[in-house]
Amino acid sequence: MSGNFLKFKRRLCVIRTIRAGIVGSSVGLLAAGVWLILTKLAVIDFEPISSLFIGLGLALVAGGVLFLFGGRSDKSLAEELDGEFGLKARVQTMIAYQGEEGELVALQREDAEEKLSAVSVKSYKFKGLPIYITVLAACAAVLVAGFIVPDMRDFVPPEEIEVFELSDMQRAGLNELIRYVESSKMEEEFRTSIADELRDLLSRLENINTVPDMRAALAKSMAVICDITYTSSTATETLDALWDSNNVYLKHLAVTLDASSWSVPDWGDFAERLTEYSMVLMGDTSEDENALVGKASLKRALDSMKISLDILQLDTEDELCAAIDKLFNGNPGGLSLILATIDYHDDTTAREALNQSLTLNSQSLYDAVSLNRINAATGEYTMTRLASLFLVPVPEFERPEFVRTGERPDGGYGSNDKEEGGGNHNGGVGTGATYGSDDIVLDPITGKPIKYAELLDKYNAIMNERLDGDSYTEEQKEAIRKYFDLLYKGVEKKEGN
Amino acid sequence: MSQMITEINTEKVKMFSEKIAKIKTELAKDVVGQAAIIDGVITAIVAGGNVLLEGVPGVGKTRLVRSLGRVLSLPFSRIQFTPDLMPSDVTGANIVEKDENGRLQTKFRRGPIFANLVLADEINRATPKTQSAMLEVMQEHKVTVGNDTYKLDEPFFVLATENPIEQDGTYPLPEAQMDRFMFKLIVDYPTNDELVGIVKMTQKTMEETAEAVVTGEDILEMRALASQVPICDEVLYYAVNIVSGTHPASETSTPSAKKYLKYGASPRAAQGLVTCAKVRALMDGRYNVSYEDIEALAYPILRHRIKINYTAINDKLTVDHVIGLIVKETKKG
Repeated sequence: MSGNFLKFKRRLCVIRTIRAGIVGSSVGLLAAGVWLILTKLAVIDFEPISSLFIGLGLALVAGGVLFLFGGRSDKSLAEELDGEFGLKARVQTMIAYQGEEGELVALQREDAEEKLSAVSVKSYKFKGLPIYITVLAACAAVLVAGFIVPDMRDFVPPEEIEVFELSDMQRAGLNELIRYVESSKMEEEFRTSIADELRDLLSRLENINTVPDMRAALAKSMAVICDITYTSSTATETLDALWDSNNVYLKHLAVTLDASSWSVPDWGDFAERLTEYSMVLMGDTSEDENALVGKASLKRALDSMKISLDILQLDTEDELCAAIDKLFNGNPGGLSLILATIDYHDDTTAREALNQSLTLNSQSLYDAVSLNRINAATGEYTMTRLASLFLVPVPEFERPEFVRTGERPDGGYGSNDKEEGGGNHNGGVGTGATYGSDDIVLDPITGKPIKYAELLDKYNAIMNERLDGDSYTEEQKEAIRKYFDLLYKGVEKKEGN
Repeated sequence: MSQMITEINTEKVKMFSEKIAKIKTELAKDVVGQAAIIDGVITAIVAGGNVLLEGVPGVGKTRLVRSLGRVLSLPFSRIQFTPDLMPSDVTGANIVEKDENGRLQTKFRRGPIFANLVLADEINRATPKTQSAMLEVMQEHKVTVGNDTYKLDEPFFVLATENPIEQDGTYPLPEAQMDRFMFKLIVDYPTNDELVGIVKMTQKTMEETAEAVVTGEDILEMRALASQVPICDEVLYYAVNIVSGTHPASETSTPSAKKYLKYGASPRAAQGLVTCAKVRALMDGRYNVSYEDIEALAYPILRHRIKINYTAINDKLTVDHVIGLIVKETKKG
């Protein structure tokens, strides 16, 4: 082998080694950088330190493969030398004919050697070295980027905040709700409070521009309205009604039920009346025996008066007995009077007097209860309407026990309608309630009982009248009509059950 | 021993170069300019091939050949081809004559083809019949008349000329005959400076003054030496690929060949290309054939062996343009 050619071969080997090193390093840096970025961005579930092993491994593999298989044959090197240094196929011919003899072969070999020796080995350069270096630098930059990228593995992205803007429909709906509340039969005190809260809510919503803020404002207002609704529909009116009934026995019950907080301005008159009744109804019974008999008789008397335990805020007979015990302990004279008035030997006179008294006072009781119901229904409707306007869930709120009780259209105090499965008959839209067309609900506007189908027709008519205008877009109109279609379908489904 | 062989070979090469230089020097006495033509002719002669010179009248084609004959010390004959020239006028014929005893006998009278260097002037003016008489001579260097075959003395060359202008009364050479020419050289009109030189020279004398500097044996030795010039496989394949690339129907043809050629060159082209490349390398002082040798010789080797189509004519491309495209499209190595 030509000595000069060997020099170039060695030079090529050095260049090959350097190239393999640069390429291997580039591959390793790039792989490590990409791996590091992917682990830090939590795209792949590995520890960042694994990028070191990935990079190192791939660097060795790439560099090794390129070194082992990136070599060049003597022919290829000869061709390159001839082309690069203008040797006119001398080296190629020399390599092709090495080992051969011929007249001119030896001369050719010498000629090729001579020309090759005139070329400096150092002039055979690493072609494209700047490009390799640039690529290496770029791959190193990727690795550096990997170190710079923040570790997002524990990052929890902030929730996308939805933008909110009070729409014309919502604004109109709120104003209409305010008008509805103000024109309702709710007690003025509560009506005004709710209307004021709604106005306040409207003004706050005008300045709110994110959905979370909107929901927070709505939740706050709904909580306020819920409190007002609850307050408006407690048993206070009922107790007042009982006290105002001028019936000593009902008064006694009212006192028993809320003796600690209730002022009794007419206690003097009450005592006189008690004395009068006692004169009429007093019987000749022992104290102890009367105590036992009294409890049962009082219960029977109350039952015969058809006063629902629920109405009186007493869930069970035990509570009633506890109330009687309290009265017995607190005011033996009062209890004796009550006991004296009730004759378990069927004193019809006393009973008739009690019945008559209760009948006379039933309207006031009914009115009180009805008022509570109207208050509750209006409050419920207000919250439900708010929920539908702003697409938020209707909050669970406490309702007085009596509000849940159904009332028959004839005005009588029926038994607990919950057992009949009649659902919510107060006219409000409660959670989980479904209505058949003949189910009785309270008209939120008039406060009067009305069949659900009629109420639905009424609102449907109002809806159609309102939608004829230009206040709503076609999409909104379609959505509203679809909603009423669902309501009608629900009614049909309930009847179909 | 190898040292001695090397020394001998070096001496041979040195003599080769000297003789080539001498030939050029002598020819320059009679022919002004036309260095490329002279190189081409010398290359073809050393390679053992025939040359077709194409040029307008008065550019020195005939003068060159005559001077060459004198320089090479070779018996020279000139055949002026005319339409009425008969084959026997070229090859010779059997004649009947009396011997010393007065008996009639048939004797072959050699024609002008029996020389070492034959100038076939305006060869395209002869009829195809007469032209075909040249086929055997040019390829096999022998003449067959009747049942007798007469071998021609070596070295034997035919240098033919043709005028590209005159088309009336000419007979284009058949492809088979064209293929017998190693080279086709285009003798261009001299430059102004060359014309000045021609005028000055011919003002002194119209006679050719070149002298003999080599012999036929020298040419044969030079030919033998040139044939030993090594050629690596890459260069050899390059030459072969160029020739095979001229065939438009071949799968190895280049895009330009497919587009612009009607037909391609014969295997003689590849043989001639490599042979002449070896001569050229040696003339250039090299001991191996290079890619440049092949590229330079592709034109004289191929231009008379391929035919361009109407697409090339439409695109105003000459044969040389197409050869250039084919060479460019052929990969090296």
